[in-house]
Parts: sequence; structure tokens; C-alpha cells
Amino acid sequence: MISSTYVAGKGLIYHFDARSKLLLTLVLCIEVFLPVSPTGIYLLSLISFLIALYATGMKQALSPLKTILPLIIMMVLFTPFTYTDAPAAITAGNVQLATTEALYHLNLLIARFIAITYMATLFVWTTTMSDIMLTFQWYGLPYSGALVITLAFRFIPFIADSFKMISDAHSLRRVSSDTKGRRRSRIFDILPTISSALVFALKSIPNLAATLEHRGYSTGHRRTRYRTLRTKGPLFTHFLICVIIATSFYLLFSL
Amino acid sequence: MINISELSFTYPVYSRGASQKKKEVLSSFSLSAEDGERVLIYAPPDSGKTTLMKILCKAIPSYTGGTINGRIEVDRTDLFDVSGGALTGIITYVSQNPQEQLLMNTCCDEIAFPLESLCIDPDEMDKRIESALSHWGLSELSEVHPQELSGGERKRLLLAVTEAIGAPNWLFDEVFDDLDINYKQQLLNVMKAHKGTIIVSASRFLPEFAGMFTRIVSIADGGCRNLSEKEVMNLTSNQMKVLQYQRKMDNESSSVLSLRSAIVTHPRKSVSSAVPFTLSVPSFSITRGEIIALVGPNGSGKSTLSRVLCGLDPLCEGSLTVDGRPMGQSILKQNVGYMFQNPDYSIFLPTVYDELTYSLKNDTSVVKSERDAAAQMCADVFDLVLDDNPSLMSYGHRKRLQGAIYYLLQRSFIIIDELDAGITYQTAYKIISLFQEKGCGVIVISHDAPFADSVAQRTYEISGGEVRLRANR
Repeated sequence: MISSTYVAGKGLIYHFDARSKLLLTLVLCIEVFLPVSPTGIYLLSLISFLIALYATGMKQALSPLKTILPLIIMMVLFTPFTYTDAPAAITAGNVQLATTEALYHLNLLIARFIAITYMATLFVWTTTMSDIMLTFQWYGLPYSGALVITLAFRFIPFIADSFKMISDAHSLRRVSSDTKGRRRSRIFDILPTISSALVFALKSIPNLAATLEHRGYSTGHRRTRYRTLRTKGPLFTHFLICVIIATSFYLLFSL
Repeated sequence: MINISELSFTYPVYSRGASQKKKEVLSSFSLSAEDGERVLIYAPPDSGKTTLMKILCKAIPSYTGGTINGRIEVDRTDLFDVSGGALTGIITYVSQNPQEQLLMNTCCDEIAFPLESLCIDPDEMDKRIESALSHWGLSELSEVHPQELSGGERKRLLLAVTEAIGAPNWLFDEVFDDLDINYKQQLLNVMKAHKGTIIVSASRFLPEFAGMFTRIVSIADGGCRNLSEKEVMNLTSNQMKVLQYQRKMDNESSSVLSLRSAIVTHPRKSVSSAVPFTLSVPSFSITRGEIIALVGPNGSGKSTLSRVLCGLDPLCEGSLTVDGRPMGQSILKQNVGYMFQNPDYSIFLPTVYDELTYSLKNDTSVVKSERDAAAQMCADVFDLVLDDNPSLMSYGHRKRLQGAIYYLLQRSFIIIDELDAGITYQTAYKIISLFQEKGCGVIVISHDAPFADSVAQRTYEISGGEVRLRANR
């Protein structure tokens, strides 16, 4: 079940200022696509994964990999067709499955994909939603925009949770447990489950609007703020660390 | 102060269902409640209680449509002259379904949101939030995402929001349903201390209500009717007698579902400070034809245990058997039904007929005429109309439909989660007795101790992270 983007854990990354963390994440994500050496990209992927592992534990750290696995499989299946002119690296009898160039690019593509996935994931795992919103607002996002994102992060878990509950309720309504029938009915159950979840989501719209109004929200209306961004140490130091990391990476690994 | 005079309301009609024709939900309804008054609206489901509550907080007809006439004044403000947002500091509504009122990503932010709208000073806000969270036992969960809370915890969060806002007028729709006995008592104390007006709606008269309300009214044919507490208590007592008379054991079928030396855990992901939830089950069993109750405070793990018992979640440690044979999750699902607290999870088709015949259609041994007959029989037994659209039915009707669906599925055991919430005792008893008559082993989850005691032959209690068989009262 997706219950929240924030995952409680340990490590310095939790104490790093959200504004500088967002900046570092974005800069590193861009650098991954600049002409940097494969070693740099592999290293960045590995470090991102290790930070996630230390911060949240093995099970949680592996979950983004599980999510992107279908896309990685697609890359493995289709990248070899793009690079066919180099010497063969993998063959099956007389059939060339992948060239050395294809493997080189495939590894690079997967490493880039893992690096950006983990960097973005680490940002949302280690920053509370309120800090994320305050960060966006610090960078100029209006309150109403931040509220829309907050509501999205409130309702995505709600809908995901509802989808799971609906799917569970449907699985309890099946009449037989035979494996063949179960597989078939699972496929046929997707549509009603999706339509139920959709009805659930649509039903929540008027309730959401009514509650927003009931809680006094209206655009342009003045509001006080409960939360403020708090940083351990001077903000300048956090930004300086962020610049040092991003610059060092580029200087060390740029081609 | 809330003054309602000659209020009439009719919903727009979308359905072709025979029982869902256009009718006035409220008809010349008048009610006046002064400051310090606590009014109970005691009426069965589908009588218009929620509609009235939502009209009072301006959610209806603004977000539903419909025709409204009459006059409502809240603290001498004409409700039809102001926007819903202007009522934040005047009137607070707590919905029957807390999910529909939660907006933010942490409990703390949920309380802060209306306070920010009211431009409360941050220091004052901090005090109010801390006090409300502590009062409703949510301090440890202040940074938890509302989706990770149990039903009762969500309701407590809404009560914490209500307390923090401090509006003079409170509207509580079936507010006691998800609360355990301690928090029910706490809410009653808070209500007694409140100096403004409180209107509470309920489908059942709980024993704790005795002497609590300054007035009790009912909604009859859309209008308001005064009731005395004695009348209401007699009615409740008569309803309670129904199932006690029917309590019996079906000794012919003695299939036993047992759980031994089991441990169930799940962590709260968003806060490392909160201790991961762990439930220990040394021994738990139910025989077919038996009715047992599962009781415990909010967030104690009743629903978590139920999910394991019906095969939705795996058992991490221990053994789960039927007649001594270990059961896999898929086999368990065929033997144990689970009526979720929220009936809408099970309901998704356009008519009652479609819902009732949906599962039977997958059974090749049942021909159409048999399916139709079964659906009709079930509709008759559960007082449903086959043409009705479930989405437009009241909560109580949807709960009956949910019961009817599982009734047709022929499960050996059925877990009924908070059946009594939002429906009358009479309906709850009827559903339980129908399952018992079929020889099902029924596990009833409830926060209503007298109700649980009146239906169950044995009671399991969850306390301190352990499930124990409670000694007979």
C-alpha cells in the first residue's frame, strides 16, 4: 500500500535542507545526461542506492527497483536492436543477440535510469510533505498550487488504498479457487475494480470541495502559516555543500 | 444557536430504481436549538439525518444540487446569505465517514489547515494543535499520514480538529460509531462541557446516551418529531431482545476455524518514533453456527486480524487451520467472507440485481433462472429492490446489500466489521441472524459493548497487543 511519500529513516540526508536537497537532486539529474564518463554514472547509481539502503533498509530500498523493473526489461529487450553494427557480444548459435556497443549503451541507459529514479525517490522519501510544499513555495510556487500538490499526495494514497480494498473485496467475492479460473477472473476483475476505484475517486470530489470550503479555504483569502522551513545550521552552508557535490561530480567525471 | 424553520429539501433524481423516485427528504422540518442545548436526532438510516447535517454546513445543495426551501439561522446568521467558508469559525461538522473530510498529509497539518484559514497566530495554533492531539490520543501520530490511521483514529482526528477550531456549534453525524468505549466517554464529557449548540445524529440509541441530551427528535416523513428518552430506550430494548431469542448453536456442522500462536505486525512507515504495530494471537477459534465478538480499542488490530483470517493478508508466524488442516490464502478466501466496514468497497455495479448475480455468473453450475430466483429471494430477505441503483442508496441499504452479496456466496464463516455502524440494531440483528440460520460462523467486530454482548456466545478482546478470550459477563 502506498501510504505516504515520506519514509522515516536515519542518516544525514534527513537533516539536509529541503531547498538545497531539491536543487542538488535537479542538478545531478541533469548532469547524468551531460557527457560524463560511465564510471561517474555507475558510481552515482550505486551511491544513491547505498544512501537509500542505509536510510530506509533493504526492503524499502529495493522497492523503486521493483517499480521500474518492467521498464528495465523493455530496455533490455529493445536496446540491442538499435546497435547492430558492432562486434557480437552475445549470440545464440548463428543469431547475434547483442553487440558490444548495444551492451555498453544498455548498461549506461539502465544506470542513468536507476540514478535519476533513486535521486528523485530519495528526495521525497527523506523530506516531509510539508517541507516539500514549503520548498516549492520558497522557489515561487503560489499557495494554491502547493495546495493542489498536497491534495494530490493526500488522495493518491487514498485512491491506491481504495483500489487495494476494492480489489480485495472482489477477490473475496469469487466463487471458485481453481488456479486457471482465478487467473482468468483476475484479468476480468481488473475492469470492475478500476471502475469501482474510479467511482470512489469521483465521489470524493464533491466531498473534497465541500470540506475545503468548510475548512475556510478560498483563493485570495489571507491565511497564517503553521509550518516554516527550519534548517540545521546556516542555509548558505547547505547550498554550498550542494554546489560542491554537483561541481565535483562534473569536474571528476566530465568527458 | 441553530434555528431551522420549515426546511424542505429534494435531491435531483438520477435513478430508474423503483424505490428511488423523486421525494422530499426533508419536508417542513423545523428545529430550534439554543446555546448549551444538546440535541439528538434519532432516526433510522435513509431518513435524512446526513442530508440535514450537510445542509447545515452548506455542503448540500452546493455540491449535490437539489431543491431547497425554508430558513436556517446559525448564531443569527442566515445560512443562505453566507458562503460555506464563512462558517468555519461558527459551525463544525464531523462526518459519518471521516475519509471524506481529511485533506492533508499529516494529522498535525489536518488540524492546522482550518486554523490557518481563521488566521490564528502560529504560537496559539501550536498550543491548540498540541492540546487537541494530546486530548484525543494522537500525539504520537502527529506526523502520520491519515491514510495510515485506523477508522477510529481518523474519527478522533476529526474531533481533534473540531476541538482546535473551537466553533460554538457542532454537528456530529453518527460520531460515536468508530470510537471505542474510552473515547465515547471522553466525547460525552467534552460535549457536556461545551457551551454552544450540539446536534448529534444517530441510528441507534447507545446506553451511554442516557441523560446526555437535552432533547431527542426523530425525522418522520421528512418532518421533525419530538421523542422522550423513555420512548427511545423502550424501542432500543425491544430491538435488543430480537436476537437474544434467536441465539443458538448449530451443532450439525462443526467446522472449526482456528488460529494458533500467531503474530501479526505492520509498521507505520511515515514515523520512526511510533512503535510498529504488533498483534499476538495465542489462540483463537470459531465453530460454524457460532457467533463470536471481536472487541478492542481503536487501532488495536481488529481489521488487521480479520484480513489474516479471511486470507487477504498472509500470516507471518503461527498456524491458521480449518478442521485442523492448514489453509492457504486462496482456500481461506473461499471459506471466510469479510464484510468490510465500508460497504462501497464491495459494490460497483449499476443495479442491486447485477450485484447479487455477479458472483453467481462465474459459477457454471448455476443457470440463469436459478440465479434470478436466488437474487429475488435474497432481495426479499434483505429488503432490497432489484432495480435500485446501489450508488444512490443510503448507507444502511448499501450495508444490507453487502450482507446480501455474502449471503449468496455460501461462506462457512463471515467476519462482519462494524455492522452496527450507521444502521439500526434491528437491521444489524437481522443480518447476523440470517447468516447464523445458514450455519455460518459469524465474527462480529463492534465498539458497542451491549450490542456485542447481546449477539455473541463468546467474546475475544484485543488489549495490549494480544487477543484473549474474555471471561463471560
